[in-house]
Amino acid sequence: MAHLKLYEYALRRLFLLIFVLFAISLIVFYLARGALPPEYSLAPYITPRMTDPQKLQLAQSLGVASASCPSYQAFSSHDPQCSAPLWGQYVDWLRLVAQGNWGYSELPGLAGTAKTWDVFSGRFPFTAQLAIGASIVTFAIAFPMGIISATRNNKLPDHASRIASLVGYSLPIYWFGYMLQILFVLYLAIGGRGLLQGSGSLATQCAICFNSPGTISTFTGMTVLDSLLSGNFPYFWDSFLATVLPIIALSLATLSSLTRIVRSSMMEALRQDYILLARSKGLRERIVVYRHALRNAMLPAITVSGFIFATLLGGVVLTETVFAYPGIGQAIVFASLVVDINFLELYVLVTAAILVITNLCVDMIYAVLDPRIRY
Amino acid sequence: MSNLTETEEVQPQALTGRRAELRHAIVLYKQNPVVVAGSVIAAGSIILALLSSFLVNPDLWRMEQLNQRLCWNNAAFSWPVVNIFDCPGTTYPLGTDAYGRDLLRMMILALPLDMEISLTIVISAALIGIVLGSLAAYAGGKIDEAILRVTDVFFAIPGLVLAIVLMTVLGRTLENLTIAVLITWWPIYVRLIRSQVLSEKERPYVEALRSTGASSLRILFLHIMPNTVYPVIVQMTLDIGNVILTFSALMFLGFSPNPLLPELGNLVTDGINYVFTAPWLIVFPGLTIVIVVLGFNLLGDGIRDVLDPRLRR
Amino acid sequence: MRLEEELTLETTRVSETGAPVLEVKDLRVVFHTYAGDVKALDGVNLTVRRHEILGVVGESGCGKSVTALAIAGLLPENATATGQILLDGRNLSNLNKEQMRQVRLKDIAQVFQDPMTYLNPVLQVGFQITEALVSERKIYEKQLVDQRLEEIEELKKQGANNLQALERERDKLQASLQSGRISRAQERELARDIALEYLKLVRLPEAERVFKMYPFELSGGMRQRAMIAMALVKRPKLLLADEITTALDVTVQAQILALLQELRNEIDASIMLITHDLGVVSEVCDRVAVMYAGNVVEVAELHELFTNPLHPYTQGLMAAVPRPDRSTIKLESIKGSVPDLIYPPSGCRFHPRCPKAFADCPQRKPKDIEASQGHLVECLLYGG
Repeated sequence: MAHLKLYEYALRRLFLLIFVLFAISLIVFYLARGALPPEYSLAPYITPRMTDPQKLQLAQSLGVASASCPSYQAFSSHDPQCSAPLWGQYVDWLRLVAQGNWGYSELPGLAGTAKTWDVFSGRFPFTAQLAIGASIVTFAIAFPMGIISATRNNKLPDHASRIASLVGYSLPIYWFGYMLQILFVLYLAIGGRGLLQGSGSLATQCAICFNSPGTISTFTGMTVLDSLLSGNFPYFWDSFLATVLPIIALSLATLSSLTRIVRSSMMEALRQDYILLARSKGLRERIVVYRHALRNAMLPAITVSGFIFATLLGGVVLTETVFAYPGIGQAIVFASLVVDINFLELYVLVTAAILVITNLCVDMIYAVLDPRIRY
Repeated sequence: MSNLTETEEVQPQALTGRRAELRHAIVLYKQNPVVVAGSVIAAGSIILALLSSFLVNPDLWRMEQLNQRLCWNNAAFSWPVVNIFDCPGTTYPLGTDAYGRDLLRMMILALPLDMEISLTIVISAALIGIVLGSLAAYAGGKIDEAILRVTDVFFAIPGLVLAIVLMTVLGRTLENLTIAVLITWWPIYVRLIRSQVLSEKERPYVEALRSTGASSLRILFLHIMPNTVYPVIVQMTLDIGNVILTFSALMFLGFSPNPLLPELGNLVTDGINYVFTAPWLIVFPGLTIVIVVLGFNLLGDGIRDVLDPRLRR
Repeated sequence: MRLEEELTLETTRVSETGAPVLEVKDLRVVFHTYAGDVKALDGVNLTVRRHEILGVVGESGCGKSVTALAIAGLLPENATATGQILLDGRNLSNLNKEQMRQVRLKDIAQVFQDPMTYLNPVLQVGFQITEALVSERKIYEKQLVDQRLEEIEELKKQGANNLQALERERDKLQASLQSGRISRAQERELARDIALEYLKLVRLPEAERVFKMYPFELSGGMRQRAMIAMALVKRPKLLLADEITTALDVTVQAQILALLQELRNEIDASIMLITHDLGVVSEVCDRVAVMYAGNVVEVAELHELFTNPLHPYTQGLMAAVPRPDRSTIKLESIKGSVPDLIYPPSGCRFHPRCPKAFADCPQRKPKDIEASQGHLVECLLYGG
């Protein structure tokens, strides 16, 4: 009986996801193609050797230029004869996307032009590495700290953790990233060389990003995992060093806010009447805190996980820029510099999909943990 | 009946009602050094921002002085960096930036811009949130559904990403920056106020008011609003800091209209190329952001603490 | 007239009770708060005899719940307690936190007012009943095994048809007891059996189904019964029942009280029944203690208290009860309101509201006087 309702709920949410994705793609599309001159829309699909008539033909087949457009010159000088209705353009674009054609991207730092999809998917595992690492760090530290803070309320550990959280929450990620670099490169120097290399040494090419010898077989595309799985330990260590500072910078803000939330929901739970009953039964304090209080306090904390993941996905952009880390966050900044609409669209849609699915999973977990929801 | 002569004893009476609440709030406030620190910082930033044009020449940021770029001559602190050169002439407490301007003065100049943009965004977002949120909650039905779906779409995109997309598409001006962050921010307030009004709507006093024939608008604005204002004020105070973080991040990423503009995130951008050669360019503007944001966070937290347990009791 | 008739029938119960299970001597509790020191209890003296139901009656804020918390050792951090609390002769005030926890495991059980908020909403009811039994194995092992063995004997006497299975179980249990090793699974089984037995004892229908349910799936009365079963399952010496009927509607209230009466003979515990409702008291209690502003102002047997209240406060309470069998136009009330316990009245705390107060009352705090056999009162009118 309960499972049936969970299924329905999940299904409903997935439909919502599709609606949301369409809405987002529509909004971004209209913003981009509506606010920008039409050459920008054509640019991703043009290869360098195209002649003008070819470009015109391409424009018309993409729906960017109308069928009645006389020449490419007319098109690029915004002759009103050549303008095509946005709705038609959107449909054509959808058609292309359904075939997997996201056009080409020429981002600074890329050697030449590459297919947008490839650029994105090549860089995606790097970002995933950071996001997953930061999530693990966030949850692994925030829960214990929040619980300790709540159970030793108003004593030293509580005050220390509260101040630390507040400060951590107030730091700009980008500044903190540089601070970490300054700290580790300038101050913690061993033998004249910084403990960790400065960001300049990280190349922006994705294929081999680190300086170590040996090969790794690609399982997941995430260098830390892959190198571990391939048994190539120098590479693993190199990858680890390259990711540890970005992960620290990325997780600081989310860590701080989650700690505060865990603390306040634990304190709220510990105030409840059923805690008094549990104590009156003579249960050990540890059981009272973990089985009774935490089970209830986790619910609001889990609800927030969705927001935390959203913050991480946004923070990734800043972190990768600061550390010159070859992920999609860095790419989106490049893409916005050259106004690469297709990359923008792809990025936004994938990010939104990840976020909505994560929220869905969080809600499912919530439903499992809280029996009141299911019935 | 009673053989007790009316000898009224004078006993110390505990304070009651509003005076007690206010006094209790002040006591809690004073007891909490963290909150006091926060409000001092926040007030300090605002005052400094208001006074900045008196302290510093407002045109300073347009003046490039290339003969004293990237120098440091404050003897109080030395950086473990090679090849720092001394600034010619006066002592600059925090060094100079890549355009030869005194960093300390630039930071003071940057404060009013940051505060102004932040306050604009926060207040506008709150207003939009109040209008749409209370509309959604009070009207219910299809309107509520529609507004919820729209906020869902916005919540599906991480804030910074949405702002980046908007800035890419619109031009790089301060107005567009403000609009971009505002569009990122308003859904939060809509949700917050909607949930507040929803829970207030069910209270008995609303039903009582309705039965006396008060119009919906009157009930909404005169009665429900004042009761929902506390969490909104807390959120607004916290958001002043958060908004500064967001749009200074946007400036840092390169979306500022003018690289010379005196804004804290912009100042950090200037320092990117000199991380290991002139670290003060990044350290101090960022530190200012930290202090200001921290001040508002402390203040917001403190307001929440002072208000909340009282309401519970 | 009817009320007095009913009371005479119940007086016979009194003589069956015995020596005191609980003695509270001069208990004082102060809460240190932001607004000042709240002198919640100002020298409380109470005794609960074996197998008796003592009613503790008083207005909201008079310290009834605080007394129960103090006895169980569950006062919050900002409270200081002085005085003696003797449970079966053992002084609880000297015990540290861990020792007090052991006492709560075995000897003292509490049932609270609102079973909706006092039961953990995300855990099954059965789990909450058995969790103490299962997690504190060393303490409960023997008790659980003994209980099961008794049950087996009962079933055999009643002529159950699975005699062989029962005998095997009994032998296995006795062997485990001898060797001192009872497995977790066995322990859980035993605990479950005992819990089901008590769920049936409190007259919950379909005990097996209720065991697996969550608190929100049960009605108010059922939840309260489950809480009572939870308290009784550990066979405590003392049961503190704090306003257990207050959150229930009147019909369910009557059912719970009837349940308490039925249980009296089946369980071994003494009960301290805290309530503000005189009607509840008159249903089930043997003796009654009346509290006001942190003091026990009068203690007497039920009938004695109702027919011969000595303390002016008790008299005021009795007069305030609406009597459908007498025609009255005006409802009597005690003038004034409950005093502020941060700045309590001097001397006798009731004197500002007392119709019989005289010059000495603000000066001296009255001591316990035994006005007649078993009838104690704290009032200067009767000496002291």
